[in-house]
Amino acid sequence: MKLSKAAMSLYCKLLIILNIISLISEIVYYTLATTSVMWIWNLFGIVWYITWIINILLIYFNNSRIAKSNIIGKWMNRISYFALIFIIFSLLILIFNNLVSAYLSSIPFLIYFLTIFSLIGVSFFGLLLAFFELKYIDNRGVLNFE
Amino acid sequence: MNKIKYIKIGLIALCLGIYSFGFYSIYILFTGGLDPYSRLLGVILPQILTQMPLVMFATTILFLKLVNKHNRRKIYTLILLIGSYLTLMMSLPLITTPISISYAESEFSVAYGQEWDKNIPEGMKSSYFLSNPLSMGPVFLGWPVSECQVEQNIEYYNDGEIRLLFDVYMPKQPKPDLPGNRSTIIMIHGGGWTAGNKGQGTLIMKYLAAQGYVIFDVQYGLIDIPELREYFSVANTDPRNIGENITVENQIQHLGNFTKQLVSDYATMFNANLDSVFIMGGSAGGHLTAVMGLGYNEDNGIYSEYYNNTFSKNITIKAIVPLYPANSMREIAAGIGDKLLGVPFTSPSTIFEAFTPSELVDSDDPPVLIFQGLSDSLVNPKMSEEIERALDNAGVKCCRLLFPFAGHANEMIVNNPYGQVWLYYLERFLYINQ
Repeated sequence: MKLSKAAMSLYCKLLIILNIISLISEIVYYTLATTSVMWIWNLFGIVWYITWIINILLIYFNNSRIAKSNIIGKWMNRISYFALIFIIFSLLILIFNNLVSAYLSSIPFLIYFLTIFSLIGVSFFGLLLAFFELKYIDNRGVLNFE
Repeated sequence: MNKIKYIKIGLIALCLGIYSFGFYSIYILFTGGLDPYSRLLGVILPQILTQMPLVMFATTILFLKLVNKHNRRKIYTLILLIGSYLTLMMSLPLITTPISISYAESEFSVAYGQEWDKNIPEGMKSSYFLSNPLSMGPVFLGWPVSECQVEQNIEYYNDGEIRLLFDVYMPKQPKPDLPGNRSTIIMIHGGGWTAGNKGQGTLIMKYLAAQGYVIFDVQYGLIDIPELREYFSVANTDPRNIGENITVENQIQHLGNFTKQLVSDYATMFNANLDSVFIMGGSAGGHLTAVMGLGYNEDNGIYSEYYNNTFSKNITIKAIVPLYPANSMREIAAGIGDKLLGVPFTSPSTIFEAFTPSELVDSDDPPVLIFQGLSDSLVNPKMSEEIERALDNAGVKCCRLLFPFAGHANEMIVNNPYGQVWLYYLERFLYINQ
């Protein structure tokens, strides 16, 4: 599936906004949430899922478009590998966090730290890839839309 | 060059490892696990699968990136197909949530009328109850811990051989308008009658305590079957609960003894309302819950010899909540052995029937809410079906909530679709029956 340059530009701008909203709301939920306003967290939960999915999809869309022979393209390709591996391990950390929070009376600091680090890290990679995409969208040496 | 090659091999191995885990999870989802260790994994795996579709999706994209589309077109397509299949299968617990909700609605409608939800004031629902059966925020980032007051390790029984303790979960601040209205919940843990400890399902207990319920999470004597205890070794068993000659009959006596002390001491001590008592427990605890609740009035019934002065008569049991309960004791004794009730399963003794919940049902029994995962391989779902059938025949209200692909004890983590739907209907059931 190929997106046009204009569609990709819009996609990346949307991704930047969603990543910022997700990061803030995820940290607020993780540190302060109660069960009293669950409808809000239902809404944000949907946003979080969508954000993570479109972060991953951006890497898929760019795979055949990045010119790996170019130094910047080479770096973007490497970052996308790091991002995917980071996302996979972050999700496994979230699973572990959910397990621990159900079975222990309090979450150990290491798990708490790793969860926050994962949430920040995934949004950071999403923002970085979207930023690179927007910056080099007109540079045919880096991204080829033909 | 070699370095990159090794990294690629490592990443392919990672992808294959995750895919293998995916296939194993599908096996657990559909069968609940056929070998003993897969059955135990069935307690955890379906609960954590809500994040796995994203893991499978990211793994598939990583795998596709590692394979050159132009040189290996067939492999590329194969990965795409396998990845899509695994992502879809891992989504099954989430996708099938509307089925669980629709089933629960139908069960509540049959038991409490089409407009059963109208029995709960709107103000109560909007202030204290979950607004919808499933919220995606907790699915992603875990269930928020409710604040409550907890008192731990209070001794209620000590005969020199075994010592039994309980914990109490109470609302943090005494507020008169909380939905629980200080109703009492006696919580009975699971563990195959031979293992386990209080403290199972603390997230649900804290949630209900914050709603105004006073929850007594009690220990009871455990049957001494080392091989079963070893099997349930993750259950954090308290060795002071194990007694050489304990049977299920003794376990009921311990719990009955607790009801008497509740009346004499603890209700006043913790300001618990004994005119509104609920009994709740999972697995073996679900069986004991059902025996307590349905056998409470059995001292005048056909099995009266086993229930002579067992429970305090000064409590009013409003409803019982057995989760994935065991039922036929004769069938279970055939698998576990003579220690379950102290006699061989081939014995003509009526003791097996006397501790089989479906045999204790009569028209005066309290309403029942049952949780049942359809992929439960530790307690066959037909057991809770037998209890439901007996209750239906006796005209007792019974809502048996069924969860496709859920295994044993799959509501524990709460944030997963099974746990959330369960809690949504549980809080309403308790309120309606107060």
